[in-house]
Amino acid sequence: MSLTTPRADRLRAVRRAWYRFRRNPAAVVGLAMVLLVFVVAIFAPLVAPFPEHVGGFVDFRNRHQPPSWTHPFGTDNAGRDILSRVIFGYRISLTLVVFVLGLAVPFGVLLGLLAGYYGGWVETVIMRLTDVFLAIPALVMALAITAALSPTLLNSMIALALLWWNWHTRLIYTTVASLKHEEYVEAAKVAGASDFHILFRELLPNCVSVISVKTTLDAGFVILIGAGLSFLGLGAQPPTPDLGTMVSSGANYLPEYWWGSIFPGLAILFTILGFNLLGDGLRDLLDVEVN
Amino acid sequence: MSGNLLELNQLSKRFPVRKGLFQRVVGHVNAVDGVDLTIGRGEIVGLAGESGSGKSTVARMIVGLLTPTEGTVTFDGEDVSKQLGTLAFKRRVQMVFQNPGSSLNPRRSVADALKVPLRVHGVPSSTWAERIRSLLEMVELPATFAQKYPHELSGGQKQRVAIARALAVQPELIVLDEPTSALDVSVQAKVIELLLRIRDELDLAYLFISHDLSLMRNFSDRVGVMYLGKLAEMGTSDDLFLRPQHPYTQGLLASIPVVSEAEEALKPTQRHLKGEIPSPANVPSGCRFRTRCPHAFDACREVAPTFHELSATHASRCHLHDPALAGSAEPTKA
Repeated sequence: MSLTTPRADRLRAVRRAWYRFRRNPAAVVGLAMVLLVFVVAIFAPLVAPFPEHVGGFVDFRNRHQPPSWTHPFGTDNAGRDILSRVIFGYRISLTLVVFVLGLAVPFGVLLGLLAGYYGGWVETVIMRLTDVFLAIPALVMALAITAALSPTLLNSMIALALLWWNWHTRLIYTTVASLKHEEYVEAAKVAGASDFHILFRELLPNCVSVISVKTTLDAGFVILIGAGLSFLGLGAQPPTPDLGTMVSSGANYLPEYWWGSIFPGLAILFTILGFNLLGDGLRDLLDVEVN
Repeated sequence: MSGNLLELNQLSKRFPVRKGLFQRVVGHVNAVDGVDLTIGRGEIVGLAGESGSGKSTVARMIVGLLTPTEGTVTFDGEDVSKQLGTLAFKRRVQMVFQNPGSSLNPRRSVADALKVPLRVHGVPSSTWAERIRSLLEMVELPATFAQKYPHELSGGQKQRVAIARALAVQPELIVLDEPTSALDVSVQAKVIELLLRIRDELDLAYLFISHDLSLMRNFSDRVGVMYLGKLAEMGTSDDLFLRPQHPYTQGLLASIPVVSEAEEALKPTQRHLKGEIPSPANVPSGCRFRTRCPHAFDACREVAPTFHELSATHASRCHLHDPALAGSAEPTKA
């Protein structure tokens, strides 16, 4: 029974998880889409056919060129290659995701842990605060915040981060509220463990699967709402190649020059779909693992 | 039996019952109501009773998971009522939980679980690996188990790890809260054997909480039977199982399933207990057992019985032992 080493055991567990993951084609497709977006965004200057078209480049002779071999997604109203700008646009989208979730998730998880574990007035204060934030529609709130500050990428990121933590707080709160009655938490207390140990060593590791599933699913929505904000002119400002801004400026030339909006729109769809498929796959995978 | 390790003196726990929008306190549940209990060094004392009798609440107060409402706890001659939750006291009293499935964190390895008490109680980290190996050896598990996760272990193995965790701080008393009720009978016997061996080797005392009376008979030196937060009868294992005096103990013993006619003959000639244990929020007047007692008479309704010493080791809380009160009511036969 215990003929294998612990390291081999763990390796086998990883391989088993990967095998189960691979049997879910949708999840594999999702992972491939997300990886593709990340690789393309990281190596944008090498991948993009016309990296110089990203900034304030103008070539009016080539404006509104339909899709062709040179310009697979066509060109925009200033003659810039849309494919190159989409590729650089992914950088903005992913920066947005990393920044927003990097702030909102740890903060939301921390508050959820505290509210769930301590209960009492700590729970009352934190959970009523999340209710207040939940009561306001996310996009309206983000509009208000970015409009009150100034419409820049940084401000829209801050606005989104301010709106996102409460979902994680609620999720972790309900998870922890049920986990804290597990005997291993009481065993840690009897052993004399500190609250810090119980929160971050006993409870948090048991929340990692829900957090990672939720965060993956969130990534798609952050991109969507971020694109919505910049579509309304409250995100990254031209000539920065933001996908939402591109959809918005291309929309002025619909339906004749349809490629100006459609391709950036499809690019947004592609990432959201990727993150959602991956998130669903992870959820199935981790549910199996947990039970 | 001089110099008791643990002495509970009128230990009580009252839980407030809250209701309505503002969580107003509308009443109290007396989960534990004035329990006196002693445990000597190296002694195994059992607490038996149905669910709701308050036996687990007693256990949780001793290890500091709950704060007693009233009463005192004396440990090794020192009043520790105010120190129940402190580190110094936790080093001397540990607990093994009922459900091995949930008493180990699924995300943490056996070694992680064993390190918690070592770290908390300031054992130098250079000696951890050695300590973990010797702890696993003590509970008869191979040293390779340190790297395993709970899902790779069987119920019995998990409970051994939980015992090792309790032993890590070298306590003097271990509270065993139904440590075998979630295990197979064959595994149960092995865990009990292990606990007895460790007790002999380390001169530990156990407070053993269980509703399994046959197990209690074989494992415990002395046994207390609890009913609705109060001890109904207390005595040595032989006192209680061979000469049960309280009608509740007699009823409990009568309800033990047996495998042979010879065993059946050993049981008290007493009907099974009728009905359910009443809610501790609504304790019957007088004797709290009278609603289910086959011998109940008028005095039982009005006066709460006190403990009657039947021998140096045996006491029972029943009016039947009081000749003045019992009067015409015939005394029970064992």
